[in-house]
Amino acid sequence: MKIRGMKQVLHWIFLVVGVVSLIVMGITMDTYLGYAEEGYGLDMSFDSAYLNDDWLVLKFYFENPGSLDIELVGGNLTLSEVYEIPEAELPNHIAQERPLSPLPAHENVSVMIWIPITNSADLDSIRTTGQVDIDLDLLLFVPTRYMNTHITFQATVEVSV
Amino acid sequence: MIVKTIFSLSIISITFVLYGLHEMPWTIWGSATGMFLLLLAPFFSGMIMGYSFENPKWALAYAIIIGFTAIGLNFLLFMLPQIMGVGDYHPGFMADVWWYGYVLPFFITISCVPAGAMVAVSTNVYD
Repeated sequence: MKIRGMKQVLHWIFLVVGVVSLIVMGITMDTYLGYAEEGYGLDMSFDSAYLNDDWLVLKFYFENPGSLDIELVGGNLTLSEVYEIPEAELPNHIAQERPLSPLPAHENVSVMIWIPITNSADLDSIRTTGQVDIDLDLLLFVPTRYMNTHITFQATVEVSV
Repeated sequence: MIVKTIFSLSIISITFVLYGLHEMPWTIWGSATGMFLLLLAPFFSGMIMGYSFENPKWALAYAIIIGFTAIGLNFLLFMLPQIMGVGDYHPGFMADVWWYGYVLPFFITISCVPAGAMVAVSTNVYD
């Protein structure tokens, strides 16, 4: 093959690779920003809920399809007032972390979240109706990226009393 | 030439970005193919840029400028969520940005992009 012909082939390859790289760049940045903004690629699904004395216990499945480990470090539940999820501490440094639950990369994990319901009106409402409108905002920590982000979940769920 | 510049910037910086962002499902980080692409893509871009020049001096200067602009773009893209404030980042994040956004791309850029440009510009004498 002559040099001129080879150059032409290389230019065509360059054109195709260039267009593909622009498209991949757009998709990658959109995904990266979306990850940082909420959930870091986590897929969160509700399993069940029950009431243990005045503790509301919520069971969720988390699927982490990404390649980075994520930690669930805390959060809050909004009913008629805001309830903090206990035993949670925001890590300032990777060595001081105390995760509520680790969510390893490429794994499915079930997590039980225990929340003390201190407001008697909320507790009575759950006991009488057997369901609750949950508005959960969970705090995530991504150790490799040294960053915190949130994942939210809103739904009306049945509660076994 | 503008199209070549845009595509070169895009090819070099997306390679660095994909190597740095190993949370992406389509990351090239941690594989032999990834290392190969990391070296090949900047070389290939430099080569295509080199074909446009008769004078090796200008080819070298242009390739280096494009290479360093791509590093800047990569650095910016890596930091974009922090700049936009969409995530709450701790100071340790910047160590990652400097490594994957500057140090590693710097060595690859100064090695591969001018090498590609020089290989290409030297073949121009056969036209």
